[in-house]
Amino acid sequence: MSNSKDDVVQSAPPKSRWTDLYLKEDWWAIWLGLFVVLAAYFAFTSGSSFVKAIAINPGGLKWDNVGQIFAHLGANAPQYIMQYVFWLIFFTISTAIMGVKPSKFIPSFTLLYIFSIIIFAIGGWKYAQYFNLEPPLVALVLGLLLANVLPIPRWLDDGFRVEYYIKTGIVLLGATFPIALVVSAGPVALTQATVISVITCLTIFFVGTKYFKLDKRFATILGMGGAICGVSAAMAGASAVGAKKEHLYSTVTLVVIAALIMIIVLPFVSKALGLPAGVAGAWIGTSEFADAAGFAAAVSYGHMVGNETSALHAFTLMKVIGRDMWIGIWSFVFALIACMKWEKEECGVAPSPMEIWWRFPKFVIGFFVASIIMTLVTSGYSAAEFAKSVNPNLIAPISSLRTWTFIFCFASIGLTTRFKDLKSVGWAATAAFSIGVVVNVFLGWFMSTQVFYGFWSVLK
Amino acid sequence: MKSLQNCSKCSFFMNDPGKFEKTFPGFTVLSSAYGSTRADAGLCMKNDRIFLPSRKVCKEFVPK
Repeated sequence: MSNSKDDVVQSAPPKSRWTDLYLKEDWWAIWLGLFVVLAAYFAFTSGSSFVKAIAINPGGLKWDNVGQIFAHLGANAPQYIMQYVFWLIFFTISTAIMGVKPSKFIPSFTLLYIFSIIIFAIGGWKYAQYFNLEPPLVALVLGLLLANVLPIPRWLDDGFRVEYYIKTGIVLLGATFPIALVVSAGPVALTQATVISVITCLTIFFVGTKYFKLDKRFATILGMGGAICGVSAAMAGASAVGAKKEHLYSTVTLVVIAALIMIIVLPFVSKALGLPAGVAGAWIGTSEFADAAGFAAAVSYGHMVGNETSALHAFTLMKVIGRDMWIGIWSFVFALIACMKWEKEECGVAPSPMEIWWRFPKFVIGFFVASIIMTLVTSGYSAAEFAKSVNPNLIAPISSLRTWTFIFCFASIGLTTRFKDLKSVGWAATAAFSIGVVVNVFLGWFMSTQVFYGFWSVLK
Repeated sequence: MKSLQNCSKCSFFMNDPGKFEKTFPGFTVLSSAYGSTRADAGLCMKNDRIFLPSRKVCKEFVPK
């Protein structure tokens, strides 16, 4: 039964968001990340080696005989089992609270853990770097092969939670990211991100609507997807303007294909151009679409040139700190335009500026908190003490656990990508999006290698 | 009588994160319906459009 128009006068006020604290994975990423950071700190100060023990991974073996891998796994089986149980308990409980069935998550995560060990082992091969067998690229390619060749049951996707793993990793990354670097580099990152975000989004929107006659809502989510944060931004934009289901589905397809291509292309082009790690990290942070895909590309390039830290730091500054915050702002702006210009009669209440906060990727808060905590607790140590004690016993274990979450994420990207699932997209949308991508990639290259080269090239 | 009616109370509205993800194959490759950026947006099964439930006013509202 439909109500008459007179009966429907306004929408209800937004409800409390306190439930987000346990129903959103952003918050769970914060809880898990900060738990690891604090546990590592208390273990460090009490002399316990527990966190260090479970932070083991086979990535640094430099093996040249497969038997060495099995010997390593056999000798350290208790640590690997403890680590697996730790991840399993936390991820299973948190995803169960969010609504994922443990009966599906547990077997899926177990397979993912085994797959991740294989990825680590391949990355730890003595000649891996020579053959460009970077763990993120190996995870992506092997995952894609498995997902598209073998009949992997679809329910296993419940454990391949790309976003949850990368968000947890980003919070852990905060613990090894000096807050002073955020303060000193933040303005440059924000400037570069703002310029490119605005130009790319508006390019796709105007080219799409003026020259390819796309629906305004469709052009909006294409623009947000191409300029800010891929699928997540497209979804936020879709709900801001009331886009059609098929438009979001098309945008998902375009973003996923372009992001996968750029995971491979950007590191190799950066290498061909001989870019310093920080410059390439900034370019990737400016031009990749999603955090997960971008981290895969940045980590790969860091491995290629032997400077993962600079590539990761530059990427994080550009993408996580610079670009991600635009999700809420663009959503609010387009919601206002849609409400006041495009469909006045359907707009119940004007969009609230609070939408900027609702859309805000909360895991970024965890990144900052972890960074501040570790900066404070390590500030009392001399450089010599830091190198001798703090780094190997506190920083390194956290870095290793962060690397695990990244590998879970990279493997999940490949394992969840089924090309036959992707929607066929019309030429007009593909053309508008592609033009935006070209503009974005060129501007990202120009600003990283020409305008701010002096800054990014010396970033530590 | 004036009433407060929006998508969150409508039978056509679907914003369960698990079902939302399954509606868009490929969605979870680089995103998640369990993340903050979705807020509580969902899909209107009547009009095949995506909305934030707290903002929308609709003549086709049907209570759950």
